[in-house]
Amino acid sequence: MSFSRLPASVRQAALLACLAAIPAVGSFWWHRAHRERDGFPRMPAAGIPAWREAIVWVDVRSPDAFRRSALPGAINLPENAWNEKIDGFLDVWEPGKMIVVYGATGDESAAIGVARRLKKEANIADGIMILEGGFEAWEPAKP
Amino acid sequence: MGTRKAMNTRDASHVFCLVLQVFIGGFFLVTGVSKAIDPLGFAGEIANYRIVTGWLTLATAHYLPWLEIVAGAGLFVRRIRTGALLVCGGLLLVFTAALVATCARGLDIRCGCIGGVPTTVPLALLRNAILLAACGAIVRIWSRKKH
Repeated sequence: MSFSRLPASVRQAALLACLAAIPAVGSFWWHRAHRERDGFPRMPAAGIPAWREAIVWVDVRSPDAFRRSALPGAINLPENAWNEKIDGFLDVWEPGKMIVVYGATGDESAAIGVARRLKKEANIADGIMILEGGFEAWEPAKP
Repeated sequence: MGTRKAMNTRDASHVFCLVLQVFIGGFFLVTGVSKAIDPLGFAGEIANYRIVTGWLTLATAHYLPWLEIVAGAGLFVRRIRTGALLVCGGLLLVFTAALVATCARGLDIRCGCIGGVPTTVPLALLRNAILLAACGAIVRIWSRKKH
């Protein structure tokens, strides 16, 4: 069945679906350029309530800081305790579930380090993000 | 006399149809824009439904708001308005099915249909039913005009 033989409404709907893809691709690339650094998208702290339990939070701060306060449901995985804690993390994480890594502050080096190891050593191909501003950015919004 | 009455009925149904188009088109434009300005937040709402995962969540979060905007605006363009109505109706059916499926799985979600504005599931279902009824009314008026 050729495209021209389809009902006009279906042809128009297909045209609209294609038309919507143009700004969608633009939006995707804009966000990639502005919100992605070192290969990982940045999640703004304002987005935390929307995501809730749909993602796995990875806290790369020290175990002491983690015990004092952390995002609800977060898993502590500091880079210097990688070997001891990675198996525990992989037991909790379900394939396909997004991961957001956060450190203490806006200095993201510790979070990037763990995110890279998750990608390379734990073979998690995609769905890893970094919390913009770290734990500090979330804390003021705490009830 | 009879002709004038028929003309008045036609005018009234034309105005009613226009009101419904503004209602549906306006709804899709507002919800689309509210989601397009924060695709990452919308991706979170999608992820909570646990229907799509990984990169597909982000792709859907970037595409769906623009489809809503294009379909909403398309309702005001004479040449493509039937296709736009088809997209609007299709989207409403998909959203309703997703809400029902998620509730059936016992997941505690908020609708996320209007970016940043939390809506309870029963309220979202009622709103979708009203919008679908409006789509149906437009189809009825348009098909009557054809004959």
